[in-house]
Amino acid sequence: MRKVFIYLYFITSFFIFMPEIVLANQDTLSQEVKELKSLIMEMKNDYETRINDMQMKIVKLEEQKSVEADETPLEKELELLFKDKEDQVDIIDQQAVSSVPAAPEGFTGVGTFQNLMMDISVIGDSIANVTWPEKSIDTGRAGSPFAENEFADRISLREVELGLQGVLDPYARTDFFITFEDGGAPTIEEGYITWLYLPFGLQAKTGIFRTNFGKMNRTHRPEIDQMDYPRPIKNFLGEEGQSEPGISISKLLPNPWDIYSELTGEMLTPSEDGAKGRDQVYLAHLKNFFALTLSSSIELGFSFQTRDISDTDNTTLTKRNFRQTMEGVDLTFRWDPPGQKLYKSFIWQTEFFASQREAGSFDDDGITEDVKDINSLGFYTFGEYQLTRRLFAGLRFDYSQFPTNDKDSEWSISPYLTFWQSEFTRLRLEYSHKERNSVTMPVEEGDNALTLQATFTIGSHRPHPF
Amino acid sequence: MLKKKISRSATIISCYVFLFLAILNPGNAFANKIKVITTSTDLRSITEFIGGGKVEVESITQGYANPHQVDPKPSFMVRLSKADVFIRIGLDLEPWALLLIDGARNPRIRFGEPGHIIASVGVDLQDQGLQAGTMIDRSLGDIHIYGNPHYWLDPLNGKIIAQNILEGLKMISPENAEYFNENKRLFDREIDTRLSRWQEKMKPYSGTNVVAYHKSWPNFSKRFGINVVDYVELKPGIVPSPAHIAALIKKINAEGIKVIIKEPCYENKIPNFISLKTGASVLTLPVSVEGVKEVKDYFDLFDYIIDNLISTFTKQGINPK
Repeated sequence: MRKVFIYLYFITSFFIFMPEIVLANQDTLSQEVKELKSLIMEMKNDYETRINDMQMKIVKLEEQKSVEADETPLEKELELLFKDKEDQVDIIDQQAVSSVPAAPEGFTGVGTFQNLMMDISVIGDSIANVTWPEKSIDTGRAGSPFAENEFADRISLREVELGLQGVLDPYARTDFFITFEDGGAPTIEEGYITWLYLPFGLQAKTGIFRTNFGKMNRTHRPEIDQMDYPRPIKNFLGEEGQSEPGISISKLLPNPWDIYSELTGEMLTPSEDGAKGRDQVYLAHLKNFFALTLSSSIELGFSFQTRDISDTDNTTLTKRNFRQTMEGVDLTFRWDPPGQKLYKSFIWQTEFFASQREAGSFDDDGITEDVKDINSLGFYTFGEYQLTRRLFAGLRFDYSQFPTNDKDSEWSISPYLTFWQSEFTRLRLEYSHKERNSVTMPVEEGDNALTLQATFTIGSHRPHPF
Repeated sequence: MLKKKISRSATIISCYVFLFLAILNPGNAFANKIKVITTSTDLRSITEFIGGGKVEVESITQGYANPHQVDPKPSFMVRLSKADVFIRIGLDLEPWALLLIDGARNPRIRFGEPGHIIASVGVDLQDQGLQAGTMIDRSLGDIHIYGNPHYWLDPLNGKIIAQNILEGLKMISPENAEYFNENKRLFDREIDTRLSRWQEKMKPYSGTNVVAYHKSWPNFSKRFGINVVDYVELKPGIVPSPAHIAALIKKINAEGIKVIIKEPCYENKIPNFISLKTGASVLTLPVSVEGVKEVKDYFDLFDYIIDNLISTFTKQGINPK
């Protein structure tokens, strides 16, 4: 009986407390349900907000589309308008403008991105040398037609060249070369704009540029194959070659043999002291290139220039105009087999120069007397052979008379070795011996110089013309 | 009577003028093919497949030459002056091409025009220098910041190159679009068929280690599974130093590398020396069409490379897996 009571007690207790246990669980569940409901409501609100936003965007886009649809005819009309405009303009070749945007009306230099930047490069040209005998640096030579021995025992950063090159617009590009010599003030060696696609296949440039007289004159000094310009270039065109402000126009001459033949005409204003506006230099150059085989080629060029030199010597001389005329022939042979280009190549280059310069004296009344022509000649020739991938050996011979003095002449011979550490760093060792044959100022001994050159480039430098 | 004479003279003069113009400009007067100039023989070959009989294609460089170093000869300018289309590899491989384009004075092929096609658009590139967190300068050698330019050595990139050429040709000659599309379809089919065959051949040699002279092979090795573990050049474009060669010999001996591959434009002296010291075979492999005389087109290029690799592996006792 007792067992029955105990059993009933447990049963009763179970039924008494069970609802509370269930309720307690139900409370937890209902709490969770509430939380879920709240979460769902939040999500619902969030989605409704997003859907509303999207609907608004769709409405806006539809509106925009309808506006664009309305504007399309206008765009077409504008296209036609510009097409008509282009049809009327003959300045630029029709093909050149057919698929490029019209050029802006004015200069718009703002908003350029990094990848629209120009090519920027810096070339350093450092030399160290010894010269002998001592007389090479004797100042007593001043006043002679011969230049001072510019390499007299020194170590120097001879030149720094800053190059800024880039495309201006669909029709033109520009090139600037600013040089600093021996750490001095900057000078603009070149700064010009080139129009690449003019009618009739013409190209034109204007600004300051190295003139097209001969071949080596167009190359900047740190990039030539030897330490310095040959004597005839220095004597006939200037210590650092000829670089003048002017206008240049060139054209490829069509021919049935597909030979590269380029004719260039230039009008230049001499920049040296004493030059007047009427003293223009008129220059013509014909460049012909013959590809003999895949490995070898010949370039043959003819140059001519003439100028009035009356005012360069004495501004009071007005009774008679004096002229100087110069002719040049350049010949370059190259051999560089394509399959072995890294290791084998040979170049032989020669240039001839001739000058006819009128000279004379004047009496007290400014009347010309004793008029004569000074005829002078000069040439250089060099050969360079590639010994290994990085080592080149060369020899150059220069001979030159002087445009202002037909009695004196000079010659030099320069063997050299060039080592390319990489495409961007070049070392060169050059020995040079010079002799002078002077009637006006006799010289007993020649000059000798042994020079080490280091040339180094950083940045992006456009390849040089072949 | 006078009127008749004038009319007769005018007719004769017109005929002479026409003949004169026709003789002076034979290319323009009777042109019926699209004149295409490419910078490489590989691009020439692919263009010939896509353009078929509608194009006349010339390459500036030879397949055995080093594409990094090409002189911008004026004679190329004459050829470019008459071209309708100019196709280049891109990725700064051909900086010399800029001078040629400017010198050619031909507005049809300048950059930005439909006649100027850059084949690298959209290709799979390896060795991209401009990646986040990397530094890039000339101490790394002659590098290309946008990626390794030898990308045509992956046949799948060949399909993308062909697509770029197709788009260009269609813009130049829309009337032949269907013809070009059909050629492209055939080209793709041929690539797909041959690629599975090439991959099947190379599969047993997947993971084989080799040494290369120049970094020309990242796309090829990715596609066909060989590992280029080192290079004869110290850095791309930089002449190897004795110390580097000594270290390379040690490495080849230590790792049991059996094959050194080199391009035809590089010297044999150093690879042969390494071969002498290590017993590894020197295998000259073309990287372009006409790099060796047996390789006449883009498909031959892979046939030749793969057949010669396998033959050299076999000769060296490298067993297929």
